[in-house]
Amino acid sequence: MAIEWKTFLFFGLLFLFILLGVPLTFVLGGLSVIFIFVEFQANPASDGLYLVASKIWDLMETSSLIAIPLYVFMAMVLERSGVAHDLYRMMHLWWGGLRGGLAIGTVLICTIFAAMSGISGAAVVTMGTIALPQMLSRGYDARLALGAINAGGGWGILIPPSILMVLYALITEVSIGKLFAAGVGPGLLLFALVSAYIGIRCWFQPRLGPSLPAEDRGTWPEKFRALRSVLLPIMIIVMVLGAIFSGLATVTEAAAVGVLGALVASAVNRKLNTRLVKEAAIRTFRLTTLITWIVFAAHAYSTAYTAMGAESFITHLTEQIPGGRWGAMLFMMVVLFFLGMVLDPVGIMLITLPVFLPLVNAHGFDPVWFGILFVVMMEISYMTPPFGFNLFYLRSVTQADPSMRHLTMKDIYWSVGPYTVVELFGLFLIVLFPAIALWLPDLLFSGN
Amino acid sequence: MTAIARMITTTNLWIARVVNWAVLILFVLLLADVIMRKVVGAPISWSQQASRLIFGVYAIIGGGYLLARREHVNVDLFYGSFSKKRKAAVDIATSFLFFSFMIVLLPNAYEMAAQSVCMTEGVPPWCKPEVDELAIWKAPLWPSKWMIVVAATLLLLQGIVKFAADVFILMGIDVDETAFGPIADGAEGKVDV
Amino acid sequence: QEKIVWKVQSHWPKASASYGDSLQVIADELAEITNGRFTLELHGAGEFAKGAEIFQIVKKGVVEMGTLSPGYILGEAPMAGLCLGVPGTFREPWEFQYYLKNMGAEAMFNEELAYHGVVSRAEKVYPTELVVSKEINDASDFSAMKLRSSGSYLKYLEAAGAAPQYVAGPELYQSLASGVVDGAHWGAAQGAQSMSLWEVAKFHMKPTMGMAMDTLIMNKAAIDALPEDLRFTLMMHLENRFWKRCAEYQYKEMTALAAGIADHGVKVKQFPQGVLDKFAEASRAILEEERAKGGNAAKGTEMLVEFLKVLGYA
Ligand code: NA
Ligand code: NA
Repeated sequence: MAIEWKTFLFFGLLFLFILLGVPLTFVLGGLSVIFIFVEFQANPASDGLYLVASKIWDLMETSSLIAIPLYVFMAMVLERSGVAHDLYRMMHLWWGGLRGGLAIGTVLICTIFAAMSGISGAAVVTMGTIALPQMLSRGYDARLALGAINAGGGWGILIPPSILMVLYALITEVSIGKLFAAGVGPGLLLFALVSAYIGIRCWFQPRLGPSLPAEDRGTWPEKFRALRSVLLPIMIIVMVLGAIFSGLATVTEAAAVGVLGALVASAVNRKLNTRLVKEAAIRTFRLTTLITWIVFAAHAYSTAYTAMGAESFITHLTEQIPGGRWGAMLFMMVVLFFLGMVLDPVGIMLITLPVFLPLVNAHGFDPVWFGILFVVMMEISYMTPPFGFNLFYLRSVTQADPSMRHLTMKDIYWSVGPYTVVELFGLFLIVLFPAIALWLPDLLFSGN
Repeated sequence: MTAIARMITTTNLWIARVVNWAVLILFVLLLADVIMRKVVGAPISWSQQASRLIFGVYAIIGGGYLLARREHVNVDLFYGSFSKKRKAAVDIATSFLFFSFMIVLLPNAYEMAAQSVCMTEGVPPWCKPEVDELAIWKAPLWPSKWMIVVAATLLLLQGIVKFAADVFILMGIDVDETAFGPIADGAEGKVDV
Repeated sequence: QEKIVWKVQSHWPKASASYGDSLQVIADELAEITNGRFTLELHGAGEFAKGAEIFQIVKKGVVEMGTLSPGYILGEAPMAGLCLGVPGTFREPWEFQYYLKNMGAEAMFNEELAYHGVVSRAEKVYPTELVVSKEINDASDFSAMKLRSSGSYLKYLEAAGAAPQYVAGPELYQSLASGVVDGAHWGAAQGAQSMSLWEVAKFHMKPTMGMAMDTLIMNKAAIDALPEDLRFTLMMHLENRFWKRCAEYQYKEMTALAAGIADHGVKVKQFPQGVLDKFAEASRAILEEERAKGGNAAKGTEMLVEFLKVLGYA
């Protein structure tokens, strides 16, 4: 069978079984096993199915993933410590007049969180756990709130530090420092664009992010008393970022500092007890198990596509592109967008970069700048249906919390629509004005 | 049948009840490294490997537990509106995905584990149980590899229980959820052990 | 005539210089000298497997060929430790080449790999050098240092008084930039350049701490299944590439370091004598551990020690 048809079948079946309600892990795992079997059948001496077991071991050895249970645990403790509640109450008292203010506050926290972690999943689970119920209980539209977390939660890979950027740098041999620096501008741009979107949308449709009636916004003494609630979150942020930037902790270890901060915060609020820790631990276990099984199956799925000849297929496609320089750029972004709907970012990187880099070089694009475009596309891929890690992490968070169980996958799928458009617009701006990404690295590294 | 199902489900619940505490161990190990680096100028020599080994098992062992709770995330776009019987029918029809996944994972994981303790044929005379050769502390790796076999077995067994439950539902026979799942929130403490 | 395609799983990222300069060249030239009869389908690190798993998938014939560091398979073959290179023994690339190829260390390694149905051919030897962010003036400066290391160098650096630890590749840059670690080794000059280490650590330490080897491994059954002429061509080709690649690698070390000095203000420094003395002691201890490993390792260690005497190093 030609690779075109195999690709169609491979992704078509993914769509079909996802829509039939089969758990993601089993769709990805089952399809990879079947396609790997078919692919290696021609050579009876080889044992291609071993690759599946190999992938799970690979995952168990990935030390950066240890940050996931720790950040999830931090979120679970914070949720029960009253810290999140107080923080959102404070935001409401101060910005209550601004429609959509809480959602904007949420993406601001996402931006800060992105500087604390090098991966994406932790932020989504954290914000889904602590911010989502707060917004919902204050009458925010579920899809507006879900989308904000889907989008903001992905910025961990764009705003340094970023594991994905290091992987990109390792593959392309560009400077990691330049790439980190180049992520700052686009990160802030996306924050501004997403905030603007929320503000404008809620201005015209107040029911999506209702403002607090003037009489409920509290008196000035009340407002100032509420300000105390930012002290604990700020303490945690200072502890984590301080540990990273002072060289006390690696980015993974910093997650443990975050847990310490959360425990201290809940002790200050007199909420720390065995029951809280116990509940937080079991929910952390569930979410971590869920995340690792999906990631494992997704890696097996990408491996199956590699075995089917994905790379030569994409190479073949690149030979057909018309339109010179910008045609090539458009082509690469479109391929990344569509692969982003169905594959995991690491898999996409391994499959596409070897094909794209020669194109990037041939057309004289700056590989640092292209790296940023690539990372933004991967961020979008985290939230585009049918397969996006953020979507499923959010889904599992809402299912785990009885107050959010009414939210369906349909809500989560639909929520990302406008945010995807906003981020694509951001991408377009970075294409149009490369300086958004490149001014900071140019400034920092011009001496060298 | 119900007794067997209950045994499998209960085993998975018990494992989760014990293993979920490991997140605290991870927290302590990583934090200890940060503190030691500040105080002594060097991290603890074995803590990094220890936390990685613990994480590896912690991350995968709960696959069966999650299935007992029906928490492996899925898309409810259409599925959510299906009747109980239709859900069971669809699950049975698509169960080949789960079973082909497990039927491949289990023997390959077994082979990987057997090899790590020199149980396979034609092993060289110097073969010893596998340890982490690259670090100062030669941590044993073979137990982790055996835990993949355990995790896959637990998940497969729970999958068989789920399959049986679906068959019963389709036949109109009542199933005891405390044995077959879904195990609801808070039920961990209520199930007989 | 039948066309043969082998899958190759590399431990280098695609688009990296290591990959382009070695594996890509091997593949291109092989296709050329066989008139397209024998081609290699190359895969970058992680596409099918990475690290130690590459050995397993070659052994199982999932792919016919792979590249790896013998450090990944220390448990699979006792000779792997000596073929990986013992820190503090050889000082020049030719010495290690001679030990592997002329004195027969590689052949002894292959005797052991035969148990796994795997064949190994050295791809190149390369130096390992430390890059640090603070100046080292004496042994006490060195012993205050937290260094990112891996494999046998962990023991080596620890024995010499520093505090080595492992940091995963993706976290290395950030850790070095913020000061979680004060230094690291990633190959030598070319490795430091590829990982951007010089951006955040300006001191490049000499002398070389040791020589290491990258190797190509092949599934024995796949080799046996080749027509005789292709088998011969392949083996001659790999041998030929090894010598060319070793020379080229040394040349590129020189140009990379020169570029680092020019572009990043890298300063080349020497280890103080106090540190060198401790290194020598640590090296002897590691050699004794190699001797105790069983298999061909005792014989290989003896060969190495005798050679070091000839060189005047021991
Ligand atoms: Na980040
Ligand atoms: Na997606």
